[in-house]
Amino acid sequence: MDMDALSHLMGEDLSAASYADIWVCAPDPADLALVGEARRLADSLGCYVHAVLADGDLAERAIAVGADRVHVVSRPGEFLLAQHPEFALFPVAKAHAAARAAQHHRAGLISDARFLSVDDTTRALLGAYPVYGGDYLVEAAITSPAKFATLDPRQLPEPYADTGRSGEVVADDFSAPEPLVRNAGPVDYTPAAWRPLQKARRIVAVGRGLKDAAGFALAQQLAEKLGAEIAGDRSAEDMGWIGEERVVGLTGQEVGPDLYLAFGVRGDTLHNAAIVRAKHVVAVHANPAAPLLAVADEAVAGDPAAVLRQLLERLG
Amino acid sequence: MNIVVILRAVKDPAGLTVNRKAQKVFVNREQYLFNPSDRNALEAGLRLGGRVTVVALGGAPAEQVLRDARAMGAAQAIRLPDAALQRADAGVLTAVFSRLLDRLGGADLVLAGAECLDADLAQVAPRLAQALQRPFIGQAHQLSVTEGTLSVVAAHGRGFRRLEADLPAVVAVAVDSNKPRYAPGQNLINIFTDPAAVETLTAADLELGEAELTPVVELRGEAFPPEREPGKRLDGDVVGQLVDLIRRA
Repeated sequence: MDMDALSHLMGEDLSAASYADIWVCAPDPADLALVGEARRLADSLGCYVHAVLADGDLAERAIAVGADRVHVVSRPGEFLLAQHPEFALFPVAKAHAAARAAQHHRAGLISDARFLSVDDTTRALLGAYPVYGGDYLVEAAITSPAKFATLDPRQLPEPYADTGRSGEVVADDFSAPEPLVRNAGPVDYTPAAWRPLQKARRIVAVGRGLKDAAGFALAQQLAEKLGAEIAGDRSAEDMGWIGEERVVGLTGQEVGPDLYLAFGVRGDTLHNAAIVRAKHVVAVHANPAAPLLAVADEAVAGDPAAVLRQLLERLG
Repeated sequence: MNIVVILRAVKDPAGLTVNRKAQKVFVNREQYLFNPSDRNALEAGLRLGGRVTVVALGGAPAEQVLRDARAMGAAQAIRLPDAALQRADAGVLTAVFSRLLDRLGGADLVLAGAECLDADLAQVAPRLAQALQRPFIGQAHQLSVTEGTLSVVAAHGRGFRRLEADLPAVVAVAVDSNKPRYAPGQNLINIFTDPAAVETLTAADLELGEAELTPVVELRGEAFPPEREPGKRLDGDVVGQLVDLIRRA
């Protein structure tokens, strides 16, 4: 007999035995990386992976990267309240839905988890979460019958897609309840203590090495083209190019973008310590001995304005 | 309008040294901070102009935070000093706060900070909303209440949107949403010399059972992200290589 039907017959049974499988909330295409992660865990546990999608067009790809069953529903977070996941993975963007579902299932939840694994004997979920904006991680073990984690899809490897995998798209009879919060539409708003760099995925940083306003204008063009925020070191603020809220440094903003492109930034200790969370640092500076060139992932010793000009041409 | 603001004292990172080589966090000075976004939550509550009650768990650091909050303008402060609650996870805290709200006769609005510096506890606010079956809004700015309807500007993707909900509700306030006030000096003196400025309650007072007080999340120590690998110098067609890099990132 189907486990789900059985637990349905027994009413709302919250015993450990009724919690089964790994469920992944994946409303966004990028969230399929979580399905790959779930597959990795499921292979060591011997259980199924359910992908809960908002977009039916992703079903095929979800199966290719590891889902055994695909559910397509309007509100994946709400749908998971009605299921009995032994493990549930949510993208960090759905942290609130994850917390609500975890509370509903009396589950422990690790936020923005890294190094996920499952203890073979106790089936505890092990992972680590960042504190102090990523200074270090705290390791945690979850022992409740249902175990939840939120994951940042950008931290996960591109999942291996096997188009030969088979899986099933389940037709669910699910109508989400009326949401308690009403959306009255987008508003144009700037926070009182605005920190434009905090959530930036890409940052173009400038420094005195760009020499003049013409050089700075090139950097602004690049930032616009890449959808990046403009930032700089103290010297850029002294030049009047950027405001206090865009100064990168331990005495200004600490940042953690995916891509940090620095042009003419020399890179003193205060600046370099504030970009340790950046995933990829590229630095261009005329002086081959500039400290930032030593800590950048890719460093170019050359005239930053000239490199910018050519870069803009090539990017079209 | 009754507003309850949940506050936390967090370990001050200025007193810590993270040594990745030794894989250890050294505590040089045991000092605590008012969790930054909790201060924004308190400010948001005070600006709404209701009666603000602040609550916190813990010993002397929590007492300090609650007294600061009283000096800023909170009408009542409650501290839960139980040593047993030091190990509380988000689920246990949710049970504690939900019972405490009952005891206070409910609240029209519960506020908390949207971020927690030193622990995985930002999830407490949405959990509390679920436990109480109330609407929840996270990353909130610009709260206002008219005729029992709460209106909030909330971060959404790269921009903002307006969200509305009926009270009672639970809201997590964003860290850059307002500039918290400084407590007037005279208030600080009055509050810090008043032995009754902060009330205390125990888990027993809240009639919480063993099951509700047992954490399911066990902390096992620290881990350290891998060290950044030394980068490389580009030469040759550097612009071409940069274009590739940008397209990949």
